[in-house]
Amino acid sequence: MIFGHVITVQQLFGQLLVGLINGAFYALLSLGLAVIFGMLNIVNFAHGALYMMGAFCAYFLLHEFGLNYWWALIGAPLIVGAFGAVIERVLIARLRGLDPLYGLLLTFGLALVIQGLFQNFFGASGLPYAIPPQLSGARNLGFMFLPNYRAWVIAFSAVVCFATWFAIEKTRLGAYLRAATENPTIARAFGLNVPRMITLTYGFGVGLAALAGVLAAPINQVRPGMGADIIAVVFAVVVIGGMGSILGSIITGFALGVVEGLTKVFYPEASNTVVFVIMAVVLLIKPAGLFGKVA
Amino acid sequence: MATAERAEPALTVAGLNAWYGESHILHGVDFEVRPGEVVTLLGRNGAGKTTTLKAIMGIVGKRTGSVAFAGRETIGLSSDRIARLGMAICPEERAIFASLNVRENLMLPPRVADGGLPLDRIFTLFPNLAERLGSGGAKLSGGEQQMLAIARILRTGARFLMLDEPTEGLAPVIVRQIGATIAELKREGFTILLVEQNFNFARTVSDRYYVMEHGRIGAGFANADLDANNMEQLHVRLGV
Repeated sequence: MIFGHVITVQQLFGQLLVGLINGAFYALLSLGLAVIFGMLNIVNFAHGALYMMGAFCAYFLLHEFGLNYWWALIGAPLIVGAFGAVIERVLIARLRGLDPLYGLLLTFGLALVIQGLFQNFFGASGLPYAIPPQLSGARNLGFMFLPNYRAWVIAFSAVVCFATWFAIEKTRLGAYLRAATENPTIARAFGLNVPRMITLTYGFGVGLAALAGVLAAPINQVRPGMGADIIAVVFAVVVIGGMGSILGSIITGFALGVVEGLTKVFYPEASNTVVFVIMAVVLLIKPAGLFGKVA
Repeated sequence: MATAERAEPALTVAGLNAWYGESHILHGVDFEVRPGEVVTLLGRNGAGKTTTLKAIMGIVGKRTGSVAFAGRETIGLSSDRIARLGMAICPEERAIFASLNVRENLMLPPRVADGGLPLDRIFTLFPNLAERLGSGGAKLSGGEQQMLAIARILRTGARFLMLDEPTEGLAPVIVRQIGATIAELKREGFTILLVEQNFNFARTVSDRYYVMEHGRIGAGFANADLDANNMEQLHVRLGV
């Protein structure tokens, strides 16, 4: 018995699994935020709403066009990512060079508009999205049941996060991105089309959010409020990991999901706040974040 | 040399004005650089030499006037389009990317034309770089950073190079190496616009000079014009 609760092995691993799933979403979403913040120097408050759009996109692809989950995994990030690129070109680009506060206000307003529109047309309750048949069922591991879909979410998210990190840190395209992030003026003076890179980077970050939305659709319901529910924790994750640190956001995302899950087992009353408590502590000790570079 | 004097200018700057924010730095700069020449902008600190290079490259806040490069008006172009016309800058602060390693820094500027130096040529000119390819960009010494900053624009095929104080703060042996490199590039037909405080260094590589004062060109002269009398005046003007 710990903290007055009886804990079984099933409970422990069950919550650990939930924690890893949440951690996978935190990692994907904070990775997108970190990439966008690094390149555009704006805090993308619309990120939660775009994650929600990814889930709705999967829903529409299925119900309007008969395209299943596997099509949605590719289609939703492309469609919502393209929408993000348009937003960047038409709206966000006009704020370049201004105080970052304007970018914050704009994306916050966008989040409210997008969420409000979806709420208007679909109400507050959720729409169902089925687990794809190839991933249904579960394995009995002895100490717990592992649902196949949940194992897929964790594994796929980890692969996507690693692939993104690899592309940024180890490839030539990533070198262009890092250079344009560090010194956009000189990068442009070498002939790199930095404005276009900025648009594509925002689209990519948004695409990651939409991908997380597709992954989430069979687990949570497809609801207009699903982005707002998750975005506060994701921002805390980004602050803890360090704004602009690619690896930091991935590791911190998964780790904090697990921490949240374990807190739910051992001290459920704190599970909603534990991430924010950690954020406060990190801000006091190392404001740049655990993996952040001190300016 | 005689052919160069009669050829069409590679760069003609006329009435160039430039601002950093509210500060009006350049007040109508006029000069030209002919193909194959090495031209040096001399002048005291704050005269506007660096601003002139940046204005030509299109990375200054606001600019008006005329900058004609290879027959095209570039005053309204963005810096990436100017780079792709075949112009490259080696900035005073060197601007080596710390988030890239040496190899990535070297390979970063994209090819803008044929005629760039191949890698083995670059490593012959700068052997130190070959040994440091995996190091982070910020880990290099001042001299190595300067060599990297010059090396990376040689790969691109740009034939008009602007070098801003390439010898500043460097040891004499490295200064000599850079001088030899510039002489080598000149032999290969590059056109170079140089900004230098170190007139003695500039003398070893330069064909012509312009003296800048308060955001304007004060005087222009060639190597052949220098004698004991005007050297004295020159030193006074440059504040050396």
